[in-house]
Amino acid sequence: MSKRNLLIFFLLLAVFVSLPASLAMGAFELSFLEASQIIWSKLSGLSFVDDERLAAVIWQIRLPRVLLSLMVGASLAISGAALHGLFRNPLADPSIVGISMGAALSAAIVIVLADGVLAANYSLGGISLLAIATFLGALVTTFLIFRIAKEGKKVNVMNMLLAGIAINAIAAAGVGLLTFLADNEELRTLTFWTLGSLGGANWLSVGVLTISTFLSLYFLLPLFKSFNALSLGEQEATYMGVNTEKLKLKVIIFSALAIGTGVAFCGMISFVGLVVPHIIRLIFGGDYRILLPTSAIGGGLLLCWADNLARTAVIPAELPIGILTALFGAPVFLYLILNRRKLQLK
Amino acid sequence: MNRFLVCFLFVISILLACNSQADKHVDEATEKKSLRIVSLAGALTETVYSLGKADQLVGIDITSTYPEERTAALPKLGHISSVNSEGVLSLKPDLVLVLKKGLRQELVQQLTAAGVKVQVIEQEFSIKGTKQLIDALANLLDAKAEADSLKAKIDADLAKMEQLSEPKQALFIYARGAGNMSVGGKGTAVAELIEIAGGENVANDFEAYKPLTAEAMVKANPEIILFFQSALKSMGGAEALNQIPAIAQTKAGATETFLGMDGLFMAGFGPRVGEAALALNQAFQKLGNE
Repeated sequence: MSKRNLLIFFLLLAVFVSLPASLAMGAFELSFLEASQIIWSKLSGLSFVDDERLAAVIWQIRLPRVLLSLMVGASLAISGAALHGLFRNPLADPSIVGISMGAALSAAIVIVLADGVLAANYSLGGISLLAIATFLGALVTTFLIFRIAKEGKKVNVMNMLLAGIAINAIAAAGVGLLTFLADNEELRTLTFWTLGSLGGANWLSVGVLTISTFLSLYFLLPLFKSFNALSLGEQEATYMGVNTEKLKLKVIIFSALAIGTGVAFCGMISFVGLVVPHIIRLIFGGDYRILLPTSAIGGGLLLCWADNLARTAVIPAELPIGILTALFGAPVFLYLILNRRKLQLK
Repeated sequence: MNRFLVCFLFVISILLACNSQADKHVDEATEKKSLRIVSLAGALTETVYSLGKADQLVGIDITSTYPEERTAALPKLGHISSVNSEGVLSLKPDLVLVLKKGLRQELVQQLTAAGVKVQVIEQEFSIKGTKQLIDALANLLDAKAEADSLKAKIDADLAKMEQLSEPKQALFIYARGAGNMSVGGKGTAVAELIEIAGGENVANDFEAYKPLTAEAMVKANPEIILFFQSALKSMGGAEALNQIPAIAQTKAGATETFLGMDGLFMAGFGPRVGEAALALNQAFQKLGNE
């Protein structure tokens, strides 16, 4: 087995160990055996678990949540890796292309200006107005930045970074204005939204995220050759036969899709998209053939365990997950940077 | 091979089924006697307590601070905007009480899916609203008699208030340190209480809480400034308040008329709303005599 396949194998193995381990963790105490009974009974259609509440905790709340954490983590991390590749800039992350702030602005509009209607009605097929608006906000800002950066038929990556910074500032001002208008409750909702939470997970959100994650993986994973060529420079990549304009379009569309859906259902979860690809790059080098798939799986793992901690650290309450992803990711990242020589990292 | 696998899974599923039959929950009988309640708002918790059903509370949110001797020991579920549905379910409630404001739809969905009754209550900041809230909870908890005496108590407290010769100019500052002072405008709970107690909220040209500039504060010129007790403490008390130029220039500043009240007591519009209005009315009366 090649080094790449071996690595992917071990990471997937870790996912398959994490899945049942996560299912056995949570505020509602139950054994691993009970958890597997419930899942088996649901999957097989045989109803032999008679505690309805126990079944609901596992099947309606915990399993969707764990699956959602894996999907969102994978989405964020692979988009992060792809954006690093596209911008050839190690600091590129969803906030640079305006996705996060655009989403935050539309979330703030919904939370502050439509709060009264949010709780009960205004959902489209079970997806809340907040989720829909956030997703659209992310897409619209990304599209806007893409248009601004377009010079004739070409997209200037440098302009895209600058446009991202400007649009970020405008959106941030909008969020600030809405913060000013918000009352206490709305302010709290907004604050918690910016820290992210997987608490709203249900089968619908898992379904949507599964589709968007696999679409992004399907289109982003095969781009490793182009990213590897691009790391030599845009001109060089073109000479090597890479259609850079098509590449830019693909990366932007699918990272906006992946991040937009994640943000829509879980709020802003910082650091996963930035730190996971970096950690993997430091350990295994900058070959995108390895970097893209391992980032996706690693992101899922990081978010899964961060969320396990979020929902068990202060039982029966919950910690915002954004705090934990930063607390988990950043020290590992710093350790790797500081010990680069000693660990013989790339 | 496949047939073997099917047989194997079948045997396993039967074994699991037997196991789950064995450890059925035994506390069904006790559940029927009294509902287990999780209350996710201070005013609701207080009302449940006042209706004499505090023993049924199994979990509360962080805004549930009264009565302290009862709430201190109960599991806290955080703030409504970050409440974890599994955390709520781990307390095995039969009934979850929430206010509509700030409630997430997903939380209701998840709790309902687990077979827990979720009662969403829309609170109105008025005497009528408080009485409706008491009635709504009394219906759920089967406590009509207690509800009637609570409502009578509110009316009695309100009747004790004295008519003021003219409405007192009052202002509520929601403060977290000297540099961060927001003022309660129209429609806020404290503004409503001020009106009930015979005062006039001087910040009546905007809604909700807004930061007020120093000049606007001087122009509003309140006779009395209200604070949450905790905020008054965090700002360093009356002396420190008068160091703030804007406050020192007002009538309230000149006479050091600052009143600190517990947040839930003053802004909760729970069963103690009559008491709160009376306390504020008495503070207004003192102003008149000076």
